[in-house]
Order: sequence, then structure tokens, then C-alpha cells
Amino acid sequence: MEEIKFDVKNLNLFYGDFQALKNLNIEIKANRVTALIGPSGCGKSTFLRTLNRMNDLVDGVKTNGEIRMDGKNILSDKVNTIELRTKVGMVFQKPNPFPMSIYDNIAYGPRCQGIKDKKVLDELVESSLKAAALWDDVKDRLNKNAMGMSGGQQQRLCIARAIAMKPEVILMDEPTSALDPIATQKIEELIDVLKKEYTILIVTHSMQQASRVSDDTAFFLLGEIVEFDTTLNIFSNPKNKKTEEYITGRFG
Amino acid sequence: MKKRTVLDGIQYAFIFLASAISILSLVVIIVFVLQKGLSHVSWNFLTNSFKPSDPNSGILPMLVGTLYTVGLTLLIATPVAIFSALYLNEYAKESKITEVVRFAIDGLASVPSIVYGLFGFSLFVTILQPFTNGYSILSGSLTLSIMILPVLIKTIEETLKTIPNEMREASYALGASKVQTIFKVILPTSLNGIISAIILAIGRIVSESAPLLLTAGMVYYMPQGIFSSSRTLTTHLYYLASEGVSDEQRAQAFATATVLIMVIVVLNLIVKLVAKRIQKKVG
Repeated sequence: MEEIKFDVKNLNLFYGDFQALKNLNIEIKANRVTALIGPSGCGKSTFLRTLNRMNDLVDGVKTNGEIRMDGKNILSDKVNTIELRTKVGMVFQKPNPFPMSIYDNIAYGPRCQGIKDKKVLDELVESSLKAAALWDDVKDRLNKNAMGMSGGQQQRLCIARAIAMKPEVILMDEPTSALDPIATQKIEELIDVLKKEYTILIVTHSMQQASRVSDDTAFFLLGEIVEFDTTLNIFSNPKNKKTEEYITGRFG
Repeated sequence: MKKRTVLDGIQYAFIFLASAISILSLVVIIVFVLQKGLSHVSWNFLTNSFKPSDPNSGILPMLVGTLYTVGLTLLIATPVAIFSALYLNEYAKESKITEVVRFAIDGLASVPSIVYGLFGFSLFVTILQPFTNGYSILSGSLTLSIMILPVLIKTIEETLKTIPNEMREASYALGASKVQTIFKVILPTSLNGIISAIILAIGRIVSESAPLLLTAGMVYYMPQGIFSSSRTLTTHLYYLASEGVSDEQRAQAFATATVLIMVIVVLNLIVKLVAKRIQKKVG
């Protein structure tokens, strides 16, 4: 039996009067890649953003229920969201490096935590860039502005930036939807390596991507989790008719 | 097809003409002022003090007064403007209060400058006389600060709005606090916009004469600090142009205008240089 990273119980989320997540119950296992799939507006990104409390930044969002991370309810008011986000990193749909140097992008998170020692930062920058398979590409231009990199490199920089925080979990919200096939392939290879050390959740619109990179898959529809199982089972032997229709491309 | 080409040609001619008019006006004004004034600008003119009847009179006190006024006004207004813009764009949720604040800012922006002068005279020169020493650079700068605030706030807020929300999310997702996000991402990213706002403000400060006549006074001695009354280049120009009757004084007026234009150019360059420095430092 594998360790459970997130234990979600009766999670509901409202945007004003609209209920975006309906009574979700799911156990996300540690050191595995969990794919969240489903048609647009089904709540998969919203769910992802509850795991690092990014929805707190949106006006009018109300949540109830429980998300236990290593046994502790992260939806509680007592939880320090800053601390939570150092443990649960996030990579966004559009690469969003800061308009500063590559080095400063990686060092941003650690510096916010008060790490000032140049040596420590240098090491963090190097190890994070290596972990994101970017070191060889950029080691000679760490002081160049990150905005000058290609889209694929920018996204790997964003992954490196998340890794620099030494998180336990990395959330990826359609990380390759703005990238070309080759850049996408590199990110997918990277996910495969990273899952040894991190718990990864990835929202994706691509069935192929879900089947390629994930161990478990959750199918979302209209704010509910229709089916959650190993990726193998979901794609070869879906139990729910809706799941089957979606993965075979009949809607969505 | 033919007709469209002709219409295109006419439109192009109009666009060209319109641009030419604005560029030409600038060139004509500058050439006109420089031609009449440059010959009178000399080292003595820049470094001598002013005596109304002396043909060897200079403008050093006004130059210093102008720099004092620009510096002090920016020192007061820029932080207030930055924090107001941050409040409006980063903290306040859209509500009745922000609506009122925005309405007030727009209202302030359309008040004629002489009204600011009158207000500054009643408040800073008269009521707050024990603190401002009456007619003084301080009174003038406080008045001008209030006057340029709306433009500063608006320009800075527009810059903040252009920062994509993804930048803020990226920062929060890395465990940064709101204050860290503002000081490490939002302000550095909007530096160029803030600099443009400051340059705009410098232009307004240097070019105002009416409010300063009423709050900083017309004393033509060298200012001894921010509590001294002082004449700026613009108010001096106003004095020379309106009261100067001799050819000598008219020449001085054009020379002063020449220096005024130079001061604006030099101040803009300095601000841009400083900005480049800061940008390099924050990466």
C-alpha cells in the first residue's frame, strides 16, 4: 500500500452561487503522477488550485470539506498558505518566468524564504536547473533575461523554479498546452524523472499525454469526479460509460 | 481598385501632414527660443545672481530654486502616488470606496493649476505658516505635489494594470507574501512606467508658474533651504516677460527659456540613467 499524499473528503467549492466542485472524494498517492482529465470547465484546474490554496486569491470563492495533506487539513484557516505553497509547487499553463535573469528567477523563491547565502543559492540554482534538464542549455547565460528563452525552455525554467523550493508536490496546470511537440516531449520526459522524488498532479486536455505520463487518472465532469483509477484501467477498461465516451473522443 | 489607391494616398497624406505639424511645431518653438536666447546664455549668466537693473545679471538662484522645487515635489509626491496606485490596483477590491477614490483623482486632475495655487496659498502659506515659513519652497512643493498626484497615480496605475496576473500567481505559488510580490516583482516590472510618470511630472513641475507665484513667492535671492522663498526659472520668465521693458530684459527672458528647456532635457536624461542603474541592480 502506497503512502497517501492528499486525502480529499467531501470537497465543495463555490464561485459565488456557482458550484464548481461537487462533493469530491479522492486519495492522491505519493510519488506518483496523477492526471486530471475532463472537458473544459469540468473543475479539474479549480481542484488543482485548491491543493495550494491558489483559489484564495480569487474573489468570491468559498470552499468546504477537507483536504488532508499528510494528515493535516490544509483548508483550515490556521494553515499558513505561504508555508503550504513552499511544499506544494505549481507550474502554470502559460510559461510565466519573471522578467529578470535566469538565475534570479530560480533564486526568487528561496530568497523570499530568507536564504541570502550566495553559495547556497548558487548550488540551488545549479541543482534545480540540472533537475529540470536545463543546466547545459543555460549555464553560460545565467545572468541573461529569462524572457529571451524559447517557450519550452521558459516552461522548464518554471519547473526548475518550483523545484528550487524543494517541494513535496508539484502541480502542473496544462503545462504543455502552449508548447510545440518537441518541447512537450521534453517536459513529459522530465515528469517521468521527477516523479521519483515528487508527487505530481497534472491537468491535461490531451488523452495521449495522460496515458503517456500518468500512473493514475481522475476523470472530471461538471464538477464531479466520475471515475478514478490507475491510468491503465481508465484507458483500457473504464467502468463508467461517460469515461469511455470521453476517452474515445465522443465528447469534450 | 483605382479609387481605393487614391483614397489610400489621401489618407496617407493626412497622416503625414498631421505628424508633420506636431513635429514642426516642436522644432519651430525650440529653434525660435534657442535662436533668440542661446547667444545670451553664458557662464556668467548661469552663475551670477540676479539684479533687476544689472545687464550682467544671471539666473543661478532661479536655477537652484527650480531644482529644489522639482526635487522636493517629487520626493513628496512619488511615494504617495506609488502607494496610492498600489492600493487601488493590488489591494482594494472594486467597491464604492475605490469608485469614490477614482472619481476624486479624476476630479483633481481637471482642476486648473491657479486653483491649486489659491488653495496652497490659503493652506500652506497662511494657515500652516508656522511649519512652512509662509512663502517657501516647501509651500510651493506641497502645492505642486497635490497638483501632480492625479497624473502620477493614473500613469502608475495604468502600468500596474499591464502586469499580467500570471506574474502575481507565479510569485504567490513560490511561497512569496503579498509584500514580497509587490517589492520584488510588481514594482521592478513596472519601473519603466513609474519612470515615465516621473518624467511627465517633472515636465509639469518645471512648467508651472501660477501656483508657485502664490505659494513660493518671487524672491530672487539664492534660496537657503526649503524654508526660503524662491523664484523658479518659470516664474522668473513670467516676471521678465511681463515686466521687462528693455531689450536687455527681453533677451534675458529668451535666455531663461533656453536654460529652462535644457534643464528639462537634462533632468529627463538623469532620471532615465538612474532607472537603468536600478534596473540593472534588480535584474
